[in-house]
Amino acid sequence: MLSRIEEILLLAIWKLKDNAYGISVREQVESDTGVKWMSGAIYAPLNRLKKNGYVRTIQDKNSAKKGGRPRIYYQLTKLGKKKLATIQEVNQSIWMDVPDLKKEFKA
Amino acid sequence: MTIREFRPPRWIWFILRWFADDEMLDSMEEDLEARCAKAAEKYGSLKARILCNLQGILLIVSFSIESFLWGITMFRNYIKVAFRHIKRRKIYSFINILGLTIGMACFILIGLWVKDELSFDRFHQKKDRIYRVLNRGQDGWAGFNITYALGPALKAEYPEVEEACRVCLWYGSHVKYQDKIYAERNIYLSDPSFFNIFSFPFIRGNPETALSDKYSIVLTEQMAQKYFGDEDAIGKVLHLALLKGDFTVTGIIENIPMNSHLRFDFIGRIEFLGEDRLARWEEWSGPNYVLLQPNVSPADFETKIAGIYKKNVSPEATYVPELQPLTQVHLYEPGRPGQARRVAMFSVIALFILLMACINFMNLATAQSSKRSKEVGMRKVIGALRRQIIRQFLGEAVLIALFALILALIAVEALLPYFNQFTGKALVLLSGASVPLFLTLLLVALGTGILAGSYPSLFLSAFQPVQTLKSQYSFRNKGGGIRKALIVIQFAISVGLIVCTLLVSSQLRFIQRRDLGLDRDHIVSAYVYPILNPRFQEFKNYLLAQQGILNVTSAAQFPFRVGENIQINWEGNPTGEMMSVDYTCVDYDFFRTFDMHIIQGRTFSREFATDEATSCIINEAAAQRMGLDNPIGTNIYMNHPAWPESFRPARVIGVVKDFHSRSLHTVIRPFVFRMYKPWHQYAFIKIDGSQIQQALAHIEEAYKTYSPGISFDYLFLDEVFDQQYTSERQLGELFNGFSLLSVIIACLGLFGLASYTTEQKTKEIGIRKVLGASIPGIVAMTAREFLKWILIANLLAWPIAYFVMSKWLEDFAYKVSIGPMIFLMSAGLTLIVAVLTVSYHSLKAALANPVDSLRYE
Repeated sequence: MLSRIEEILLLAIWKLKDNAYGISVREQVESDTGVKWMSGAIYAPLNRLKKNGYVRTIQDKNSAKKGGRPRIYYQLTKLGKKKLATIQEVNQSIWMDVPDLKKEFKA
Repeated sequence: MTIREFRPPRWIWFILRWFADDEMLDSMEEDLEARCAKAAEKYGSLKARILCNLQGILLIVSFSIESFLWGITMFRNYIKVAFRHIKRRKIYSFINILGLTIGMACFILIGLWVKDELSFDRFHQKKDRIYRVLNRGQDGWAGFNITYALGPALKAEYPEVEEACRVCLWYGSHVKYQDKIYAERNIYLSDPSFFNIFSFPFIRGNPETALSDKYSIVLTEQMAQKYFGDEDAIGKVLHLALLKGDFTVTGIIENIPMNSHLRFDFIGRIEFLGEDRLARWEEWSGPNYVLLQPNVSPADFETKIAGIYKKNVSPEATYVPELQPLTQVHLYEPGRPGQARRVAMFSVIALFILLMACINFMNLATAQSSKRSKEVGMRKVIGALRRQIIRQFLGEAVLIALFALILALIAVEALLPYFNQFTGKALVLLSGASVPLFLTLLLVALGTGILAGSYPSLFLSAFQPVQTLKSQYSFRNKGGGIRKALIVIQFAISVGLIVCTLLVSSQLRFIQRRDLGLDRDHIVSAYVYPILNPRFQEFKNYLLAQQGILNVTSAAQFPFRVGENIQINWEGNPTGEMMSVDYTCVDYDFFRTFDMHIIQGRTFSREFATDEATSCIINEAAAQRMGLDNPIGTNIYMNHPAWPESFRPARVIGVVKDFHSRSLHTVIRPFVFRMYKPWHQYAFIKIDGSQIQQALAHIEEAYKTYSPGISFDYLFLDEVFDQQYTSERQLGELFNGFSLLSVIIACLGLFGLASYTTEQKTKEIGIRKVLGASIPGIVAMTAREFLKWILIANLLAWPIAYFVMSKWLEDFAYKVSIGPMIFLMSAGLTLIVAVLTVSYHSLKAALANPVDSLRYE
């Protein structure tokens, strides 16, 4: 079962396309949610996603980082993409016909 | 100072390596370095360094907290959902848990029993080298009563034998210490090597030397307490009336454990049987045990000694010695067959009952799949993998199994005293708890849970999420085939057990009611030897004058428990070949007391002075084997050196109708009665069944008068007779119990399944009612399907039960035939129970208002 952060991570990786590596993913999540995240809270679920086969890693030899080792990039697998699509479907169906709740509750 | 100096602490990577792979570590390292660099730009070097290290530690903490929380959340969610499910479906959960509890309780009980049976004689340290010697005949027959000459001969002639001992399971004697006299029946006689071979733990005394003196005796703790109280028993002198000798106590052993086949209260030296008797090769006296040297192969040694009887008895001897491992003595006792088979039978039953409970679980879990399909669909949508769902359902099953285990442990603990009383064992569960036992129990629960949960979890986890979330999706026919097959298996097991139960109980009734050729009701037996024996006639006359005493006689043995075996020849024997007969000595009025019919000639009578010395009475079987139509007047020759009476030939004066002198496991053997009085050990007193108490009082009175100072111990003959079939009766009652339980479990399953299928058919039944179907018609419709399965189950179970039971009956020489009635009865029984179970639900559905049924869903 995917937790909320895993869902957000999948989406962030998809949004970043070819530029999804550790720092960029974290920054994307932070800008998406508007909160600061502790590293562990990002990398533990990311590790899980990778283990469960939703995400795979690619080493980019051209963009060696400062230490000389290649940077690790993240990509959605086929399974990850499928999952993301299902999540969207379910979320949309859950929120369908729901009016803007901010306005609703103020009124 | 460059940025590179602000590196996060190195050690965190060693820890994180447990959770993440190298690539993930690289990503995290890069991220952390970036954070450090940022800190270095903003703050001074000291603060930046602290921040950088803090970041590293925070990474570990947050990483592990996140992982842990996630694990907990999922686990808590599984448990929560499992409990919600248990609570919501109360009936199903009740059936599941009850079924599993019964199954596990049976399994644990039988398991304890089987473990105890298998543990017999395993406490002896040298158990792997100890063998009991059997005589094996050409026709496969075997016996453990063999010559006492064999043991010493083996020890003397073969270096492979480290020790040998002969054991005599002696009749018993009065034992006296100061003013205490008790009749003891459990005295063994053996060789000094007995305690070198067997490891009975000594409380006092030295096992090496305990029996080295001829007048030494070793007793159990319990007996020491009985005779000497709190005094020190060592060195005290006991008087054994039968041996007319004083014996010094040289050792006290712990009370004999229940799982020992050698059970004695006292043990002394075997030499008292007489040197000539011990040295005779032709006699079959009692068991011999040998302790082989380490590394001697019993099979090789057996071949080596195979010719020993040909050499010592006669060149024509057809039987050979055979080594029976000590640990098999209890399970494969010749003359008491079927113990090993019984252990196997009960193990199978235990597994069956547990299997049935598992089947219930599988059936109910899959039958309710539609109720949980939405949950599975939802879990899958939000990302559950199939193996996670499998794990969840397996976990749920294991949880229920653990719950059932706890209940089963409580139940077994409560039932054990009754079970022990019934089986005559001293089994313990929790009080004898050990780590292996609990590990086994835990494994059983785990195994049960996994077995029960395997099919449902595979079945449920295969659902397609999108389909399950659409409400029209129907599961009506999914998994139905397997469910039916499982129900059939369940009922086949029940039917098999019922058939076995009926057959065992009819065989037992057959034994109880069979005309044994002698009357055993209202006969009191009491020990007379040797004080009372010379005055027996006075004793008898006194008793016969009392109210409620019908007949008095005496004999050397119980008429259905004769151990003596003798070779006889007779006048006019065409082949000259000796015949082996059972033999005992009796008094006047013996045949009248036991209501045994003399069909030819006459009984022993005082009118013929020669009767006491030179007359005998034989049974029909003996007459037949001798090939004589009219054996009256024929002389019989015994010539047994140990028995003075046998030196004189005996003339046949009568033939008694065949009677069962041994248990119904064996055929009736030839039998010879004589009168030689000094062997008489028991008085048999036939009393009036309507005045038992008065009669017993009179007998006790007579005892006090004619054998003063000796306690009056008596046994009712019918009870002694019934003891011969104790194990059969236990088997019968255990079968009753377990087949009842299996039927209950099967019906629980059927009940659950019936409630589910009728629920599924609610709408159909409503429509049928609207269209005018009658209530009986609807009940019949729903019941018909179940009945079909049960019939199939019957057909499957019959041949297997027939096979098993004919094997069991092979142990009896006199047995019932397996008729069709038993099978029809078991079919009828299962059908009736099934109809009652199913019709509760179908009636409920049929009686319901069709309007409600149609509104359902």
